[in-house]
Amino acid sequence: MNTPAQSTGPARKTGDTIASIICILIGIAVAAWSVKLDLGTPTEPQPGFFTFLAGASLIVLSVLLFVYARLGRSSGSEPLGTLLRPTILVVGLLIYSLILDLAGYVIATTMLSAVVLYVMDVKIWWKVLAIGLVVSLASYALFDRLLGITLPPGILEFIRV
Amino acid sequence: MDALVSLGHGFLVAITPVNILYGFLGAVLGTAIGVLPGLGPPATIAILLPITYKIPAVSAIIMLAGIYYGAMWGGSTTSILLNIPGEPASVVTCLDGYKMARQGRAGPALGIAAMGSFFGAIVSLMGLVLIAPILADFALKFGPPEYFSLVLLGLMMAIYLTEESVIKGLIMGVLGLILGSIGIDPAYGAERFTFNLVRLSGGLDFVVVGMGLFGISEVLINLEAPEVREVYKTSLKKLLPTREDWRHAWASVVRGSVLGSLIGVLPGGGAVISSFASYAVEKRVSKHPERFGSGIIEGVAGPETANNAAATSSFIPLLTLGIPGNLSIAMIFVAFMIHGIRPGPLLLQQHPDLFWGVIASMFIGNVILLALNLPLVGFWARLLKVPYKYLVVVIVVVCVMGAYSVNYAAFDVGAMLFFGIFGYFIRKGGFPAAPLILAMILGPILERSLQQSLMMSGGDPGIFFRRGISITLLSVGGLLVLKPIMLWLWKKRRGNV
Repeated sequence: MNTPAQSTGPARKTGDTIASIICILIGIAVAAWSVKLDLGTPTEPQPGFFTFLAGASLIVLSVLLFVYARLGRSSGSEPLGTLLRPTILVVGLLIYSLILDLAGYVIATTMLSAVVLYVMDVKIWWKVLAIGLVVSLASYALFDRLLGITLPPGILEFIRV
Repeated sequence: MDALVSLGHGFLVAITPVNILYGFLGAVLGTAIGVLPGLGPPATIAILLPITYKIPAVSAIIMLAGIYYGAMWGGSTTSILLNIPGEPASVVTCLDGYKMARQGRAGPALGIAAMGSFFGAIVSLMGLVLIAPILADFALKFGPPEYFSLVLLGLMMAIYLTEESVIKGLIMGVLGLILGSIGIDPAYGAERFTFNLVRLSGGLDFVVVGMGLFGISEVLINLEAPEVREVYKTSLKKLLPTREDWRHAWASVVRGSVLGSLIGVLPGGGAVISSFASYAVEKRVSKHPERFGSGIIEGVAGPETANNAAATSSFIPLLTLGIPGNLSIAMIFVAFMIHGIRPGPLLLQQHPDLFWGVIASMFIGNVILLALNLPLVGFWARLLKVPYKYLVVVIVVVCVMGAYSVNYAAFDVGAMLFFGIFGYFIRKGGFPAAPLILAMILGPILERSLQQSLMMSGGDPGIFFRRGISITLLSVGGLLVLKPIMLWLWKKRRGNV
């Protein structure tokens, strides 16, 4: 059975401290923005009323987490693993979102599939390219042609039927 | 009697060729993702939501429901043959199921899991047929204060029942409420947290957030250290449990059906908790509790029955109250909204075809699953030989295609990626994702009912405490909040004595 490893005390303490500080900042920003939106009164709550309550609650809860973390009593986190593969996929997806409209679905998805396969240790270039092309063409045929979800043709616009 | 007549009408809807096809597709997909570790029902439903735009609402819900309860069937296969649960509701099945496989009794373990699952689902469905109309009728009496209290209680229970760290669950719940408020405020038309981005005016799309939080983050976590799987070689012949097996297991199956049906109705309950609860109950009532974990059939029969019963009964709060109790049901809630249908007390009156059609399809779906799972268990086990490196390509591609198709914009692919990274870090930090998505979905209902309640009472929050149903629901929620404090005080007092 796969059981996630639990992070050690100091790592969890640091992680939860950072998370609580980020949440406190988000809570302050939300509460401040809500005040700007107008809170209204309990009789006539305005757009900022509910979000102000949420922001204030977030601050209180995050302060509690901060205290728990500093006391070493927070629980539930696990250590970060090797980040190289996830990072490559994130960068690949980021580039994909930037070039999708320009390059078109088939080309962009072939490249993305190639990146995923590379990350997964498929290192034979023709295999990577062939599988990438098959996946992108098959998904294009299924979603665009069969299910009618219009995907961007990009520079292959001229061969669209 | 009326319910049975309506159910008969539901069968007429469910047995149309197109609905049978979608039900079959859902059952097959559900079993497949249940078998394959690394992609659970919420992620699969989230990924497939965009595809349902193009198909009728009844067919879409029938297919997505099939994925959810189908996954409960498939999950037991990997637990028994690999000691790896295909999805969380089958974690506890590993304890005795895998031991049975090692003793050469994989067949009876898989057999009792399938038959128990079928029995649990049918018992739970009968409960659904009888209780849902009564509950929907009762819920028509709910005003804004009752809805506010109900949604609040639902969120609290989801937080308390699913995760270890309550404070982290509460933080995620509040973050979900904030994310759910992004966009144009429906009451006053004011823009909230849009950063002047037109794309955010309509709010964050649940499909994009769901695919990021469950689909992409799951892939990122699996990429850290791709696992090596090895199927335990064992005889799959003689799948039917013997008379002796049944003598030991029948009571566990009955108890699992009742327990699962009850737990599934609770917000935050669902299949995972019911399987653990069933295992605990079986161990407690057994004359030989020390034998649990050594490969006894009761340890498989109870939990596998309970998780299927719970998966089915968790549709009750969705269909009658409009409250999704767990993540998979929350994703199905989104599918309703995509089709412009609001699940809740009025669903039965306004869309009886959908209401009864979906329930009837679950009867048919479970028969399909029984037929698919028992004779084809060898096929499902072989599915595990598909290398994850090829599977992950398909998951990523379907995710990006799904995100793009929401608004036909690459922006949404970027947004999905953002929530994928966010999901990765919150999971690593031990922050549960379920309260976030549930609160995001329920937040607008909570806000609207709070505003309406305060307007009704002239700003007096006492309205929530003067109405019977509301005060009852809030009291239960209050007990949940006070439970850790009471436990701490009790332990302290015992320590002092």
